[in-house]
Amino acid sequence: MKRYQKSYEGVSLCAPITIPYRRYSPETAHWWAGAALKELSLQTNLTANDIDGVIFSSFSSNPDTVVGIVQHLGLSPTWMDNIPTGGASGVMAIRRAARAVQSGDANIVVCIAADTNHIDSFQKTLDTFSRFSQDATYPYGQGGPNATFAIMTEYFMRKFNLTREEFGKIAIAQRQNASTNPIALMKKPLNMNQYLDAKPIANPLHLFDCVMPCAGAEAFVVTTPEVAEKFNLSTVKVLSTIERHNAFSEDHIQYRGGWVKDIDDLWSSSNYNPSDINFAQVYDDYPVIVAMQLQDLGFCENGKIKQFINDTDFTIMGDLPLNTNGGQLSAGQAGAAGGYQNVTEALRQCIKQPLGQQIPNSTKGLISGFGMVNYDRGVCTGAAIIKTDTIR
Amino acid sequence: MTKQKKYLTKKNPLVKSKINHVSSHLRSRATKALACHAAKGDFVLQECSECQYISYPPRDRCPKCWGVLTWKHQKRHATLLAETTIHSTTDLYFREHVPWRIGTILLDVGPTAFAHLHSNVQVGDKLKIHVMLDRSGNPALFAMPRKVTVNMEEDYQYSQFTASPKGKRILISDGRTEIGQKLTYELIKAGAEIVYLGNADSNLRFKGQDSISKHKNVKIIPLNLLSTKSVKKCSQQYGGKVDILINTASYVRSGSIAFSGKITEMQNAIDLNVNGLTRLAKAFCPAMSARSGDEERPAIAFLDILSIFSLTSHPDYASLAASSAARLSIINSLRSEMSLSGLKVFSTLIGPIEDEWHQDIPPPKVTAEQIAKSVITSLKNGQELTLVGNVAKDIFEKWSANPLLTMRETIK
Amino acid sequence: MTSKENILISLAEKISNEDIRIIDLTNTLSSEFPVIVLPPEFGQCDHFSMETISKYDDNGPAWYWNKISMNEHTGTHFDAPAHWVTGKDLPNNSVDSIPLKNFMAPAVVIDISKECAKNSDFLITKKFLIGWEEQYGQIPKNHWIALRTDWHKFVGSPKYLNMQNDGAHSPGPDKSAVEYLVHEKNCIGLAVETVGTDAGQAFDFDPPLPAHSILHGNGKYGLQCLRNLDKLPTFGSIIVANPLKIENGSGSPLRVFALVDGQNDEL
Ligand SMILES: [Zn+2]
Repeated sequence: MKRYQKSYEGVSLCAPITIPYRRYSPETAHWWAGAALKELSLQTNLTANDIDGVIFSSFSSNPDTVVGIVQHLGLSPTWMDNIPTGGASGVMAIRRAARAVQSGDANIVVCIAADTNHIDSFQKTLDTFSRFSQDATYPYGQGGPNATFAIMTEYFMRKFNLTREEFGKIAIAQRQNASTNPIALMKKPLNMNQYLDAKPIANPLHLFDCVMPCAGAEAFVVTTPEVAEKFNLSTVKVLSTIERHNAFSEDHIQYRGGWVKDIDDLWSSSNYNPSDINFAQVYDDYPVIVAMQLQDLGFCENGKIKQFINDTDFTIMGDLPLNTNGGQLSAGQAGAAGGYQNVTEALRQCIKQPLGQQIPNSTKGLISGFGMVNYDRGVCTGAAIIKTDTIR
Repeated sequence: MTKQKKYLTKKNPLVKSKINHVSSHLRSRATKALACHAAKGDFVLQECSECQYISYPPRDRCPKCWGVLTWKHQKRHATLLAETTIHSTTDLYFREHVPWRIGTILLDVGPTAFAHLHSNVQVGDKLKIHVMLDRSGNPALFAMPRKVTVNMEEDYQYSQFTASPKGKRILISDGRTEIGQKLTYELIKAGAEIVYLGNADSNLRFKGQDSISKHKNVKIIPLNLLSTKSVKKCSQQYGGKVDILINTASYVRSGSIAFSGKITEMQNAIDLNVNGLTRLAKAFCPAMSARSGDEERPAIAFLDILSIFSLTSHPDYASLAASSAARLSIINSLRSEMSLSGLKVFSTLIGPIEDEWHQDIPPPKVTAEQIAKSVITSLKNGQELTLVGNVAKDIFEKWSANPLLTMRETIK
Repeated sequence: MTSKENILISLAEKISNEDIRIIDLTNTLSSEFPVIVLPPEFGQCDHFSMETISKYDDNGPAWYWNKISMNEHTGTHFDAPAHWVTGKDLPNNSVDSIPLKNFMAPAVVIDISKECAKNSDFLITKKFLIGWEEQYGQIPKNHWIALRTDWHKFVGSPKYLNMQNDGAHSPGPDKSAVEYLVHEKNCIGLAVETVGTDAGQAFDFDPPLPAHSILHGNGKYGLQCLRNLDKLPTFGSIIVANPLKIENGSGSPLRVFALVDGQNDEL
């Protein structure tokens, strides 16, 4: 197969950090970012002097961006970036940090996503989320993305002949995965009746289709194999990545994402097929987006997603372990950190340091991101194929 | 047939009225421009002046060729692609109004958009789209069935964007005039429960008093806009039960500035047209605001009828024009204030009326009946700005195109 | 003490003891109190209006005061000769220049309340006055002529202005009566309970508005919108009527009261 993208040779992903989430936190995004750095230094012995690259993602650090964070937390990088793309930010952080490391612009890039959740954070985030939302979404009563995703879900169900049970299967599998993760916010077992009978939010979405906003932080390090060895860190390789924004704007209602445009590049550059993949960590703000990613990323033939969901066991011991920490649907959605948890959980499974149960065979993983319902659909998409390198 | 909302005659006095919430006021400048068209009941979308691409939501440049966008009237036809019923939301306004249906519409002219849905429309239906102003005064698309059906304007969601007089208790500030009386009859015809008709001077009888005072849905009440005391007293008595307030009072005398006009006439015009409106708003709007979220008997609208010369000035009716300009300004300030409480503020701009004070003005002139009918229509459609009569329409059109030129044209 | 001082001290004592009673002839100034209505093509008389500046509130925490506005001829008021074109060139014709002694003068009360009850347009004529004098005695000179019509009892109802399609209907004097009072009795002025010294229909008289025209043309005054004339004796009361000192004022709202000898109380 033709290789489209340059290789990620000489890049190591390591040191996944997750600061346990809290439903509400009186602290700030800065506090949570600091907590992630503290935990990182405890686990890796990296100091501020070692860190010469910083990527930061947050919805609640207003008015600060990476600039404010760098000064606030006493870093002095030679390279930095701010990635404001929510659910797509983790994959994008990998891409940007990897190329910075390859080019030598930075040697040790720390990628941090941190968000707090005050009682009024959700409303504040909405108020400043996007202009199209202010003008043409919120006036319709959405009070957040639920109704937008409800419409997408309703359309997706009709288009691909799905029922609520398929989405229920995804939510239930993720809840089962979460049951082994001690820091997941929702570990109580969920069965199909509970899923179907839950409180309606916006038809066809019910309570267990929606994530619970919370506070939390995630971080990981992108560096060279040499640095990783020096600090005695287990490493994961990047095989291929893709990224696409505002794809298919001609679709009246979103039923596919930007992955479709670049899927050939993703798989051919990795030299794998979907069937080779041991596990998938995909963005899961709503089950419909999980289904969309699985279909768009080629895990099933286009239009066959119903069958695929019914035929596949998504639990940790299953055919395709999916969102093994429980995903956001069970672990909680910590703002932009929700866009990094697919990365940190994938790294942990690859280096066999899971929060919960270990997938038996976990060398080859897929990470997928989806973010920013700027108006009526998610604008940002991305994906990465990773592989275990050295376990130390 | 649309399910009708039943109004209780009386509200349980022990139940605390719900506080009205309005959705967030954050809107782009482009969307505020859309609001100005919506206020007139126009359906417009942005069209690229270079590639003619029609886009939505409001933008500042064409997403196809980066050309300049202009607002153009568009065909209202659309199809409903998908829908949802919101049961739970963090939005404070909609929380009080769930379940609430919205959907994605595909406009025949191209774009898709979220829209509020009339209860009679289903996925796949052909729609007619209106841009309505919501309770915060911001524009929102509303999808109506293409086919007109009985009582369709009484749809619960649609009624949140309008101020239909049906079942409402309405106060008209000046019932001594033909306008006040014609309006009263039209409002009753449109289903108003009661019209409180203001009488500024109970010492002086007025034309039409005998027949209108006998009407069972009319109550003549003392209300003199020149007296703060009188307006306050009236609001103390009726402020808690007025759902729609219509200011019909106007002081009109011919006269220029330097020669024929009198300072006292200017003062009189300002005292009634400007201070009178202010007294009315000050006395009634706080009480009405407090009831604007009430589920059973909400206060919904404040409507002012004023001269089109508010936009242009008028050399021979200088005091009317000047005081009307102030009046328009007051209404605009009030509208902004009320957008926080959800009370809708309407303006009806009228041309010279067929009465004894406009004898020097040649026809066409508007009749009291035309004004009354327009007021009903604007309330029913939730249309904030209405122009009555050919003179008003003509002046408004010219003024919209070139305000300074239109002002200059009033010079002989 | 001089004898003059004794008179005043004894007056003060009698007032204090209520041997001399003070009768308020004034209606309360309020926005509801009716004002004269002229044909619409003329400028109109403003009602009284009042806006509170502060009332122990943010605009003035410890004090209460109002801004008031009105016509010179609003409420119970005084008409100076300058009010009418016939008096425009007279000396001392405005409220700020009227000799102070005229602000305090005896009154004779002519009771036409029974006639007015039967006929709203009742006109008092010279003939009527002479007939009255035969019954009650001579109308003294230099007196206020107070017309008791009991019209003040209509305040608050449309009957007060009594405006019909053909104009107002309320009692007043005709030309002969005014000329008799002015030229033969040298009256101080005409004091009435109605909204004007002239009858409601006097616009159509010859001359129009004879009371205004003749009284003011001869330097006499008017007092309108009075009340409690029914509490005054026919003879022997003193009316105190001090208009505000308005520069070139044509008239003024004022507090009017009468001094009445308690022993002579007819009530
Ligand atoms: Zn264009």
